[in-house]
Amino acid sequence: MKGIGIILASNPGYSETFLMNKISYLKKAGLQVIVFADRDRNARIKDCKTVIAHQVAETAWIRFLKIGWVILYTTLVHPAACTRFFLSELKDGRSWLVACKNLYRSCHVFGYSLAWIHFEFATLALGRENLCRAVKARMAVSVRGFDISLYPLSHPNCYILLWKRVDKLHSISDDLYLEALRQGFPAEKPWVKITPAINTDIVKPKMNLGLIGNPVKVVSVGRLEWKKGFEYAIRAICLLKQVGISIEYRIVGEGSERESLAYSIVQQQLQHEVILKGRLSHSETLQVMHEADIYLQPSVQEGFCNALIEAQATGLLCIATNAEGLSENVINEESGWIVPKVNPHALAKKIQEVIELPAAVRKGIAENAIHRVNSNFRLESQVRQFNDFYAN
Amino acid sequence: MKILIIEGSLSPPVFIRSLMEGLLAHGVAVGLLGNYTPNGFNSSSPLFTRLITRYSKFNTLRLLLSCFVLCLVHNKAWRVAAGYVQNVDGMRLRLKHWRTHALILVYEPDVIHFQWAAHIEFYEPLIRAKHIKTVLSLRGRHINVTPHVVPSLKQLYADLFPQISGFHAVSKAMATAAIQHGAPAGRIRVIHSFVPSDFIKAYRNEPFGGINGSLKIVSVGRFHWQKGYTDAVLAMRKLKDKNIKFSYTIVSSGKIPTEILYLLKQLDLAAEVEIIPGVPHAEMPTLMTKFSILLLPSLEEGIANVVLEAMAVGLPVLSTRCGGMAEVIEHGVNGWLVPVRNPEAIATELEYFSQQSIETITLTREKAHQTIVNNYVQEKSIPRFVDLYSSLNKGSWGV
Repeated sequence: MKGIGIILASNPGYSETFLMNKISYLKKAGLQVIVFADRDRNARIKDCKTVIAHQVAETAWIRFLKIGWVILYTTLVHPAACTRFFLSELKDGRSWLVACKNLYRSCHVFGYSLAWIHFEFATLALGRENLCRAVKARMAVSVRGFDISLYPLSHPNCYILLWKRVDKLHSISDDLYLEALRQGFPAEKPWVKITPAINTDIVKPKMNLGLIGNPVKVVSVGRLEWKKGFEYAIRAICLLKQVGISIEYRIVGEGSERESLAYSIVQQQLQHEVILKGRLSHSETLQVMHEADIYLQPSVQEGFCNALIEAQATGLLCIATNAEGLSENVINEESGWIVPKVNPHALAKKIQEVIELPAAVRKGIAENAIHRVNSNFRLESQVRQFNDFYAN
Repeated sequence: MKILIIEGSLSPPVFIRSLMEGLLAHGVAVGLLGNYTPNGFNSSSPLFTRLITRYSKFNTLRLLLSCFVLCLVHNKAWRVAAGYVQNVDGMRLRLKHWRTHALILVYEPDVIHFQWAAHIEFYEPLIRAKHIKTVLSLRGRHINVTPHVVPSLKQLYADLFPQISGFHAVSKAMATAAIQHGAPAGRIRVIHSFVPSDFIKAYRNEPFGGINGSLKIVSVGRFHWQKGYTDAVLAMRKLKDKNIKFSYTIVSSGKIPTEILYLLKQLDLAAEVEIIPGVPHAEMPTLMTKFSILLLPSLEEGIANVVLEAMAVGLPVLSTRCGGMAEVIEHGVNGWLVPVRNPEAIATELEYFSQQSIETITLTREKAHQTIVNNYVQEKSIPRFVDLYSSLNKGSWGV
């Protein structure tokens, strides 16, 4: 039986539980899965074969010798696949030099019998559009957020060749599929929406659904990056403080924006209200969530957001922005609330409104959120959908 | 008097170049210590010396040769420098420290002037030894941002600031921030930055003619979170919602952040906002005359030089009330101020500006120009620097 090749930038690690879960459950479902990672983070998925791509040496002459040897070796061992690869590259107008570079990045996949090669982010397929032709596999590509909403901003029309080669597109939300269409994905090509999912055996609902303490405990989870919009959340907390609402806001995660966020906290004199918790393990993160009343997802850009699914499963009162997939994740006024993005005033107003809602209404929303996750975002159903994705 | 300027490279920013040129013109000997950079600062003055800490070609060989010469010819300096580097780990790093310190001792400056607080860690033993008087310029995020984020740096400042002989603060706000980090208040002098004379000469005393139906807004400066460009972009969307005709130009070199590109697309501002690469400093006065107003949306600054330059040229300025900006701009008198992190306030103030009469704006820009001429010119600042250096008693390392 032919297997499924999953192409990743590196072995799944921190904050990529969605990939870990998907691969583990596909294995459990009996599919033969091989992970092809561009970089090695020494994090292996249990019982799953992982192949690391050839690395690029820093020293010029070692790099030159290594690339030459790898290309020569691959051509001798896989002559047919290499011929198909080079012919396709040259037909697409690429130079020999670029074709050799692309072959070096792709040849670790040669030699495996694969029915599908699935690029987990569209950006990973750039320069490797002809890999599937070479190894006679079908090509699947996922669009997850950054790759389709942000990368093309600085690389216009980067997916033209990819859209010609891809056999099936996977999008984690309707909104991202629409963005793919805007980026030139042909409407007649097949696509499937499969949302991320969580392990509901691990994420359990908290006690006292809908109750709000004093101070109000608010939490957010995510990398400290601009697209997560934490700056706007901190400004919202400042607005709430100004109207006398006692609040404690914890942000779980680490990232490149730590300095600007830490300074924002100091400048707005919110050292007692806002705490950057840094990177926590998954179980510690769930613990912080259990202690909170409200979950905030203030993103500027977001594919779908696993943390928001987990927050709903925990029974937190979830307030998210309308960034891309978030309004498909939370149903406004049903399993949480949706507010306009990049708008601290809207965030602050909604937090205040939620605090002032009757406890019974808040409890109803929290119960709806738990029910919604159990019905729509369970790993078991996600794996079934991926089985169908590869079967059809 | 001999002053050693330590900036990190031999190609310092314009305001440090201006300081060195001003000191040389005042007959002060100036040394510049740093890594070699092509087209770096140079001067025909015999009072100027370059001390190179890293070469671009054959670096290791030349450094070893230099160490050999220092050891033989300036043996006493070499031995004193050895005392400064005894706690440095790693032979290569120690040799680098050793040579740099020996170079400084051989140059025999009266004062070492560190331009950035980030550099004092490297020279900690030299500062503690107090063989040579030291001055630290208090500017930038090293003083008012990083210590709040990096606890170890806060501790270093608390330990080392009391050991420094004198401080130069670019604004009163910066002086206050440094006092919180342990700088003795009595050793701090506030000496304002000064504007190159090209900007002052470019001023035309004539009625303001910079709006003409469309508000032409400009911001100048590198892309960095501290510059607050996202707030500026959000403010432009609010201006658009108010149906105000405007264009916004960001003058900045380097890669445009994805965040800005994304916001421009999401907020449908592609037609109104333009990002152009930076121009040589000499061309800035001409460029500034093409706009109606300079917007400084920063979250933190010492005193932004670009604001001083715009005021000198006669370009009206709207700035956030960050750092020391309120020490230069008096709201509604020689410019306009808005709170930080507040795009609504920026949009409201720009709308207000667009409704002002030509007479009001002309008067404001006149006052702004006068503020610069009275307080931010080389003739006033350089003697204050010389006075600061002179006020420190000369030290000695024993030669």
